[in-house]
Amino acid sequence: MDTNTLTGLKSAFQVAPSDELAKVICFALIESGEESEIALYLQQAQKTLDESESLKLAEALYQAELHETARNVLSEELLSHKILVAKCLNESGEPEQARKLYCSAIEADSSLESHALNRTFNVEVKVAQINNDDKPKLKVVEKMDLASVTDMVRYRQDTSDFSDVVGLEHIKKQISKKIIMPFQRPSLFQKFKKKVGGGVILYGPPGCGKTLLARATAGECKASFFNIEISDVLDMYIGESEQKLHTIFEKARSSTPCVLFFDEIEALAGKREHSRNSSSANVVSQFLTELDGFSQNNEGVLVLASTNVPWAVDAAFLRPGRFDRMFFVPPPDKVARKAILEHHIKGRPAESNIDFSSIASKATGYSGADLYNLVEMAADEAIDESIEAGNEVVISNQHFKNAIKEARSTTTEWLTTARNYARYANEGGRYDEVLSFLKKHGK
Amino acid sequence: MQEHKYTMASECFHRGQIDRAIDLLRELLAEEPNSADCHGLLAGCLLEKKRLYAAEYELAIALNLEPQNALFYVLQARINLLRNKTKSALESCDEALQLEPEYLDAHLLKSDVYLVFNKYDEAKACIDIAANLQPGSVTVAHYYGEYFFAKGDIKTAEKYAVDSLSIDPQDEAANILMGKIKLRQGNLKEAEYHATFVIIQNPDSNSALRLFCDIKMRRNIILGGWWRFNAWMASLSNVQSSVVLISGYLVFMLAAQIFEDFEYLTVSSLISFAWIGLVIYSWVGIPMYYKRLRKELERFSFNPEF
Repeated sequence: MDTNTLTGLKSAFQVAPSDELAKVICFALIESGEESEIALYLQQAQKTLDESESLKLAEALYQAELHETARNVLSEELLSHKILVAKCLNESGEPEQARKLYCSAIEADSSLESHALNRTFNVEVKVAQINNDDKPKLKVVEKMDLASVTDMVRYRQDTSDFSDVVGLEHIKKQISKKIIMPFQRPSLFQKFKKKVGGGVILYGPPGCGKTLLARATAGECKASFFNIEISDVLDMYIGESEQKLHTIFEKARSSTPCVLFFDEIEALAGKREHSRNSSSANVVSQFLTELDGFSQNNEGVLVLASTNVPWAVDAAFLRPGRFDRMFFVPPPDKVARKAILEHHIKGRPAESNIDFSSIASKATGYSGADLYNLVEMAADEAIDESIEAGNEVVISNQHFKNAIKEARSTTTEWLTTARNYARYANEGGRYDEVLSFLKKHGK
Repeated sequence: MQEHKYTMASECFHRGQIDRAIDLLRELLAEEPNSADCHGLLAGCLLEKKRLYAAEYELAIALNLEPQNALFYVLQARINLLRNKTKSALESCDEALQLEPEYLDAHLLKSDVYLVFNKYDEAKACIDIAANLQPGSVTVAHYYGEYFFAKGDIKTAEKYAVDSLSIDPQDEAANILMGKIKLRQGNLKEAEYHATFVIIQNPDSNSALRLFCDIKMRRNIILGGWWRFNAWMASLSNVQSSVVLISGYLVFMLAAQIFEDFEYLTVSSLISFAWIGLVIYSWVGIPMYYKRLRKELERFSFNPEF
């Protein structure tokens, strides 16, 4: 706006003073750099100023070092004005009040905070408080040493042998030939360039003795036995599960001959397409690397695994060189069932003439665990009867007869599912043993 | 929190815990009534429960809130197909494919609709597109099997059923297809095996129960009829059962009255006894049916020598 127009406006105001005109003159004075005259029109102009116009006018006055006038234009109540009011107060020699106002402004809106203003008002930068109740979200994973792994794995010298396993003669023979002999006569096998150790999966219905067989295998091999549980490997922190797995294998390699036993292998070696996060896929990859033993020698390390769901194990584990031998652990047959019943009744008060052959005949398809449950149920019946009669009643045929009415075989469901896999997804004859078992013993 | 609840509901739905999913979604919708995803998922759950009208209602809200969601159109197509509105089902599939041309489910559902129309070439074209989109899929293999089965080419259908079972031996649809094929081939034992295999895994599977009743019918028409009647009774909800009983009562009373008016008093009293018999049967029949079914489901049995 040129000087003539401004003079014209001033003259017009003299003749007919109005609020709007006063506002126009105020902004014209700012534009022309004559802020000192603003005070003359301010009182009238203020009536028509909105929040942003007052702020603009006050900023101009603050720049012109008219701090007191600027402060009069502003309102302490408005958040957008607070910072400028604080600045004005500071310049007017009221630093304490200015600081308070600045602090209240940044508390209401943290975006108003700036380092320059913090310094001006002598305000310390707030440090975010960490809630001590919260656990840290990240943890530095340090490389584990071999000594620490002994805490994780249960090192067992007192393993059992095949005499502890009732029945399963066929599979014991197979294991003896394919797994134990290389351990007992290593030089003969080495001469023929045959590897000692490797990977073996035992699969079958639950409760049929896979774990017991694995322990017995270790005992027969005269090797140390490491029973690895899922909790020994899986960890909530990223990268630690893989590290633990590596350390377990390192420990096994340093204590050959030894048997590493992974129960419920599908938890660690499940199909990667079914895993919901990348960390479980990483564990699978690490497991595969350890089994391959490219950088380390796995000679003398037998990796035994057991599972109820062999079809859930990633196919990469089943290729030659990894878990290349699979043994089906079937439900016990009649002879084995009788022996298992006799084994579990030992030490309990029972009649000597219990017909275990007949009970075993009626308990077709029962797993070892089912048979144990049957004995427990018969014992419960005897206890109940003893309490009612007031004197000790020993376990009898009748108790078993009652118990068998209530008990159920848990293997049939598994066999029904396995039958479908054996018939339709039998890649490379993986489930041939299941098929031949079903053919031989199924109705 | 709400996102977590939605994820939980979705997981429940995929795990087959439909009632739990419905409860979670209803809670969520009470807090956030304008969530299209919640309405859509609730429609999916209700569809699984065969509550078609309720599903349609939820879906209408979902579509109103988010008209550009292809999944909602696929759900609409499924509802329409179940209500025999085949033309509308086809339109919904087209709508979904317009929004998402590579939507596998929409192509497969479209093939289902064409099969209802006996338009085999169009159905196959849809399955071919799906096969290109997802080669080696168990669902696509199963759809090919269904297509050849509908065409009457049982041998090729069997080949595809075997293919889908070799990919996933526990797949429900593939097992039912194999059961249907075996039934058509007259191999009742095998057909029964596949039907019971599915029922063991999913006792709510209506298709498996229907197949099972078909097998029973083939063996003995009266016994088969008994199975079918009871399976139908067992599938009814409490409200539906009450409606059936009330309707039955009205029909029986009307018939008894008519016969009485024409002075066929013996027939009239027989009808009254039949009504009492039906009411008693509705109490004892279903538990009897379940007991029998449980026994039938124990499919695998051992040789006595084992």
